[in-house]
Order: sequence, then structure tokens, then C-alpha cells
Amino acid sequence: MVTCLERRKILLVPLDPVHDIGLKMIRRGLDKAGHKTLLLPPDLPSEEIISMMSKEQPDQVLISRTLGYGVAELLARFADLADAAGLRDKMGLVIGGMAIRPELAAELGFDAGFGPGTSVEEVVAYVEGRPYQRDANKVKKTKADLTANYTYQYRHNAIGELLDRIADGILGWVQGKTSPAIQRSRLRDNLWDIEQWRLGNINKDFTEAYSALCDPIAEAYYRSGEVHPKTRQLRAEEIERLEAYLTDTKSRMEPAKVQHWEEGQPKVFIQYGTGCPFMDIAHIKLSEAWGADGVVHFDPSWGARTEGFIGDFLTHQEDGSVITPENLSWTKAGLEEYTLWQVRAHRGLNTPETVVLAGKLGADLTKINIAYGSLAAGTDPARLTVDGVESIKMAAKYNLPFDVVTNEELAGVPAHKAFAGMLIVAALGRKLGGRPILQPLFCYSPEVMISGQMEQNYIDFNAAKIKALRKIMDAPIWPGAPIGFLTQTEDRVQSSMTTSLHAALAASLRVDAISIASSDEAYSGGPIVAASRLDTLTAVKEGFRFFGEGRVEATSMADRWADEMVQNIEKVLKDVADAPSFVDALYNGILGSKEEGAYPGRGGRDTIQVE
Amino acid sequence: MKVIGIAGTAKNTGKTTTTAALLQEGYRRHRKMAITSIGYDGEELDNVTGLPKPRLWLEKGTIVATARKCLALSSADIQVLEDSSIKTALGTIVIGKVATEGLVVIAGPNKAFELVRVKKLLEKYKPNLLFVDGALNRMAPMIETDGLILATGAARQIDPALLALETSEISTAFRLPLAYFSKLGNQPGFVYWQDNHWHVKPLAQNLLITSAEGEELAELVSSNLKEGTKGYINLPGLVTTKAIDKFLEKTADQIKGWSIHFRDPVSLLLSSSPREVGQMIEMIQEKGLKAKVRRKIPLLAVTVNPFFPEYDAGAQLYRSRFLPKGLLESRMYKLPLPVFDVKRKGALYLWRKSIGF
Repeated sequence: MVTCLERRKILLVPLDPVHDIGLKMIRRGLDKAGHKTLLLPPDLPSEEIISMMSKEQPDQVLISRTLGYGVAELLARFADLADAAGLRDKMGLVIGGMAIRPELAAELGFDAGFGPGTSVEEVVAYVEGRPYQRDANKVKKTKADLTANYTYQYRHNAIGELLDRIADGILGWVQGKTSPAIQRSRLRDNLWDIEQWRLGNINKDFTEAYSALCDPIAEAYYRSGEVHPKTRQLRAEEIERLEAYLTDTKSRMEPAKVQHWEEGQPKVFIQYGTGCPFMDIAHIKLSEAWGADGVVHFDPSWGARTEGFIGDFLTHQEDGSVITPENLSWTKAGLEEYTLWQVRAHRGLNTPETVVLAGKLGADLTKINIAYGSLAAGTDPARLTVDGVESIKMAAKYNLPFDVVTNEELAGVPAHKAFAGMLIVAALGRKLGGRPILQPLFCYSPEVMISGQMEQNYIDFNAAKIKALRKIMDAPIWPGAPIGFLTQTEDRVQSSMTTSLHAALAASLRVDAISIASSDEAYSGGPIVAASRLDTLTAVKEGFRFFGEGRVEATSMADRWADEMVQNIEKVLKDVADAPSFVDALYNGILGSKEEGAYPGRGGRDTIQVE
Repeated sequence: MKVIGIAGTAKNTGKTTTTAALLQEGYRRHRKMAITSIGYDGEELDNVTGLPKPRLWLEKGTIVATARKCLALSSADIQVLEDSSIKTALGTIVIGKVATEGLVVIAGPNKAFELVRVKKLLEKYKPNLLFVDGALNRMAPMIETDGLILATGAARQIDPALLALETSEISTAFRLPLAYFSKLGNQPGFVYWQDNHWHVKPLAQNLLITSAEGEELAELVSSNLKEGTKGYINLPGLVTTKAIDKFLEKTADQIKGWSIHFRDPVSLLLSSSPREVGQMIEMIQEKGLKAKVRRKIPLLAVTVNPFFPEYDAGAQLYRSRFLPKGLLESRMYKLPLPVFDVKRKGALYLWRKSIGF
């Protein structure tokens, strides 16, 4: 509150015929700060305003007017009238409104100009003659820790005991077993020095030992520099342009937020993987500018079926951006410091090494799921169990929380079976000092198509999933991936709408994060368009704005299904615990059968070695 | 230092083109020049239409008065000589000297009293000429110049006949004779008359805007007025035709032969549209009164620009359009001052017609 000596008299003049909301907001701010304000009715003739200014002798005159052709001349004439009336050395003249910038204010003969996005505080500071600390009021963004508030305590004792028993069983089973992936991952962990690599120093010991553990495609790279046939190296001029693009874009970046209620609404992740790292970076920058909190790296499916990583800064002619140290490193360089970055390890023959690379290159999160990887992503269950345990250990070592996604739901595995698998991996994580994040799908899965749980609405069954998981474990939840999967169509408005509604539901359930698709992701048939990312980010932002701390309410069905789900999960876990081993359970369909669409994978079969 | 203002009747009437031509000719003649503007000028794209705009090219040694934030936007290197501490929306105005030639963006003082301060500061560096580039249709600060070039054209009025008429009214205001008057301290407005004695009455208000104010003035003047008195009225800086009309309606018969002193042609032109100002001057004369100005600014030349931006509603953008060459000039050739299209006649012609030597 200002003192009587600092009190200013401000005349507020809406020159627009109707729009004076902005001025009213400013008036409220000025009044609150203790200044004397006078708001004129809208649309007065200039001469009358000048007359008022002369009579009232305010310190500042704030005029609001939306700009259009001819309006500039009108405002300039107004400034002239004030000048001719001898008022310009007695009071300040300020213009605000759409399309107003300082340059325009100078041109029109005003002392200052405030455009869209101006805060009331900024105007008050100006009126009081204080420098305005834009930074203090700018959106502040820090990297969120999704796992910070969770204890990982079991809330369902019987299920907790089963999970512990199964996890112990798995740890016993993998004892003394190793795989080429584990060996590569340990080489990468021990011998690959990131600082030396950045300096361009090749460690021959690492390269020789590493290439011996690779498939012919990866081996060829280390032997002769040959890259994967569907990829090519980025050219020098492309890299130069990328650098120029990054320099320019990063200098203009301002943090933005999707959430309206910061503490209660989930962090929003987008997924990138156009194949071209340059395009990925551009998509990331756009998404950041529109408020995305995190980005998820999608690699091509062949990357999961090939033993070993190649190197170089590579672009890929199909979907999915190749994981190489260079590609990841460039992507990292493109990120704002507050953006969460997830590199997925979860499913293939390079799972543990992906975690090591992600950790060394500064990722914040990874993704691991043994059950999904072996039942719906083509990797041999035994191999992925051995690799999975190593991956979780590496994730703990590199301090990377990891989500456990139940993508096998998309193949037709019922949620309770997929969740049993997810919880087993989470239990392993808990035991090994990792920080798992549960990632149930928010989707229109084959299970609900057949059984009809979403005939009434999309709310109840999705809500039931979150409620069920919360009954079992105190762990962070990050529905995905992406939310609303299989409810989107080729219609961008429809896709944005359904994404927004699923996000609002997720927010109502107070989950920690969500992954969203672009509005053309489901039907793009190729690379997606950057604008379509903004569609869904904007739609989600609107949804968050609309609901705020309010909630989408589920019907009583949600609770009933949640209870059923918990019972079914317990049953499945009992069967897994009673099976000779977790790996046997995977082979035998306990966590998803062939009839349900789950097929134990064959990638990496018979590659387990005795340590 | 001679101060030449380049004022426009609207956006896109050719102020910067005229200024650029003057500079070009001045450089050819090796004149030491200074430049400022009463707004923001030299941007690449129009702030409203988004269409490309001409920019100012300055050679080494030119003295510039511009807002600090514009220095970085200019390709010319400008050595800052001093800071005027005059605040603008783009930082304080600095006085600088062009160290290496290039394009500049100029945002100078946008009020009359600030232009006075800038002129004083610039005087120290002894330029022969100071050009004051206008902004939009802004005129008020131009009262501080020694001569004015008016830029008008199709962007102001697309009908050549109407534009010619308006330009003629404007030039009438500039041709009003200079008034001789006594000073009354700092009082801008007063009535001065003589019957057997001299009488002075200060005006109550320093603005004359509403017809009610015109009526008040009429009462002030006509009360106690004997027949056959002679006198004059010094009007305040800002008057409107509406107020003057009312005033004359009440008093014209009593004050025949008096002079009405407007402050200057620029503020006179602000009282209403040029058309109405012209009609008001005509009426003053018809009623047997004399319209004069207390301060005269020569109108040196009128430049006409055939360009106009046309809004394309379908594409939601402005497109550049031009009236046929020479159309505007031929309409105005009878005006008692040079009227021409700078792009057609060239920089030398402009210089000769407006500066002369």
C-alpha cells in the first residue's frame, strides 16, 4: 500500500466501444495498491477525454484500444491533442491493448505501451515508477520429481507379501545368469567415458570388446563405420543449421505451463520420435513453448531387436529416432533445463544398456517392463527377466526413476493381468532401490471392447484402475501412454477433445503425470505435424483451466471395478507365486495368455549365459 | 541549424521516403546533417499492416537522436555522445554519431517540449540541418520546426479530388498571416481590446473544446463591450471548430474587424478535419474577422504518394496498391506551393523545392 505522498492519480480511458475488462483489472490492481483511479465510460470522443485530463490533472492516463487500420491515426491524433493542449509535460500517456508493443507506443506518441500478456503488477510498477521485475512474475518452471512424495509401502498386505515373494524368486532365478546385453551395459558403464567421448577420443578397448557383443549390423558400424541401412548421417550444413536454430530458439524460450492448478494437476509429457533428430528437437521446442513438462524418446522397433547400439548423429527414414550417443546428446542439448526427459529402455535386447546411456547422457527417467516386453514386444521372457533386473539396478545406480507401462493391454491382456506384471516389476524396483512409477493405460482397450466396461462412459474403468493401484501400493502413477489411446480418430478436433477430457479425468484422479499424443498421432500414417502437438497441449491446458481443483466424478461402478480388479490381481499373483518361476509364469500365460493376445517373444532366446 | 520537419497526414504517405531522399541529396552536397523522429521509424515492416517499409540509410558523421533500444536494431554503428535522459517507451534518447554507415531505426522525442530539449542538445554538434521525421499523422511536435514538408497521398484519401481539396485546406492554414500581439505573462489565452482604454481579460480555461466553452468565451468577450471597439483574441493551444462556431455565432456582430489568433497552424489543424478547419477560416473571414496565427511555420512542399495498403479480407492481410502515376500531382498543381511525388521527381528536385540552396 502506497503512502499519501506516493499516491498517484490515474485516469483510465477505454477507447474501445466495449472492451474495457483489461482496464478494469488494472483499476482493481491500482486501487488495491492505494492509488486514486478514475475510469471513464467507453468510447468517448478524444476532445472530451482531453478536457477531462485538463480538469482532473492525473499523473498518468492509461488508454486501452485494440488496434486496426485507422486506429493508429486516431491514437496519434489523440497524442497530438494532448500535446497541443499543453498536457504532455504534466502527465504520462500510456497505451495498452491487443497488438500494442513499445515500438508502437513510441510511434503513436505515447510514453509506454503494454501488449497482451501484460500483468496488472507490471502496470502498477510502471505507474509507481519502479522498475518491473519481469522475471519475478514470469512463469517459473523447475524440473519436477514425480516420485518425491511416495513411500512405496504396500497398502494391501496380502498382495504385498505375494509381490515380495515373487520378487525374491526372480532375484534368485537370475543369480549367476548374464546376457550379451548385460555385458554391453557393464562395458558402457565401466569403460565408456563420456567426457573422453565428447572430446572425440575413442576408447579402443571399449570398441573392440563392445563390437564383439553386437549383431552384425551394429558390428559393421564399429568395423567399418557403416550405419544401419535405413539411416544416414546428418550433413555438416544440417548440423550447422541445427546449431543456428537452437541458438535462436533457446534465446527466445520462455517457460510456459499447461497446468492451471500447479500442485494438483499432472505433469504433461509428449512423445517424440520422428526419425530425424533435428525435427525431434523442433517438436520438443514447440512443445516446451506450449507448456509440456516432459518429453519421451521413441526409438524404432528394430532398435529393440538388434543387439548393440551403433553411433553417429543419424536420421532415420522411418518412425522412431535411433538411439545413439550422438542423437541423445544432441536432443539433450536442445532441452530446456526444466524439461523432464525420458529415454525408454523397457522392452528389447538393449534394455540395461539403454538405461546406462540414458543415465550418462543426462536423462531424467527411463522405462522398464519385463512382462510387457516379453509378452507383447517380442523379447524372450527369460532373457528380458535377466536383463530387466540388471536394468533396474542400473536405473537405481544412475538415479533414474522408471515407469512400468502396461502396453500389453493393447494386445488384449486384461488390465488386472497387466497390472500384476507391472506390480511385480515395481516390487523388484522397490527391492533394488529403484523408484518405479506405475503406468496404467488410459485407453479403449480390447478388454473393454469385449467386456463392455466403457459402454456407458470412459470414466469409470479408467478411474477403477487408479483406485485399484492406490489400494495396493503408495507409488506415483503416470497414466499413458498416451492417454485416450484408441479413442482418437483422424479428426484433429475430436482427438484434441478426447485427449483433453482424459487429461481432465487424470487430473481429477490426482495422478502425477500423463503422456499425451498429438491430434494426428493415431492416424498420421507417418511423421506427425508439429501444429497437431499444439492442438492437444492447448486442449489439455483448456481442460485443466476448466476443471481447476474441480473434479470429473466417476459413478459407483468405478469402486466396484476397482475392488474386482484388486481381487483379480491378487489371484493372478498367487498363480505367479505358485508357478515354478516368474519366467515360467510368463511362458504359461498367467500374466496374459495367447488367447488374450499375449505371445511370449523370441528375440534373444537362448542367449542367456552362465556368469 | 535549420530544422525541417517531415509530417504525414497518415501512415504510409511517404514520410520516410521523403526523409531518405533529403538525406541522400544532403550527403551529395556534403552537408552536415542531424536526424531524429517524433516516433518510431525505420522498422522493416509496418507495425500495423505488416507491409515492408522504407528504411533510413545514414552515412558516417551523421548526428542522430534516438532511443537507446534502437541502437542494437540498426546496422550502422552509432557512437553514443550523450544521454538526453528523456524517457521513451524504448529507453532514453541518446545523441549519437554514425561511426560506420548503415541502416538505422530512429525513435526520437514524441512530444513538442521534448523536441525542444533534443534540438538544444543537437545544436552543440553544429549540424547545418536537422530533419525531424514524422510518425503516422502526428503533427503537434512539428511546431518546433523551422519549416515543414507535408507527406500525403492515397493512403490518406484514395479519391484524388478529395485529397486535393483537403491538401488545399491544409495549405490555407499554413498561409494564415502572423499575428502581432502583447504578451500577458505565461497566460496563453486572453482577450485584448480598446475602446477609450486598453482592456485585457485572461481566458478562464486553457482549452476551448465544447460548444459550452465557446459560449462561455462569448459571454466573457461580449460583456461590457462598447460598440466599435477594436481588439483581438489570443486563443489557447487547443480549440475545436465546434467551440469556435458557437463563439462566433454569439459574438461575430459585436467584434467585427477583430483578429482571432490561433496558436499556430499545426494546432489549428488539430481542431477538426482539414475540411472543417478550412470552412471555419472561411467563415471567420466572411464575418469580417481576421484569422491569424501567433507562430508561423512555413509549409515548404507537399509530397504525394500513390501507394496505399488495401485490406484483403479473404487472406486477412494487407496488400500494396498504387494509384496511377502522376494522378495525384496533376490534381494539385494549382496550389501555391510545390506538390510532387518524390519517387518520380527525385531527391535533387525535392531539395531544390524545399530547402533551395
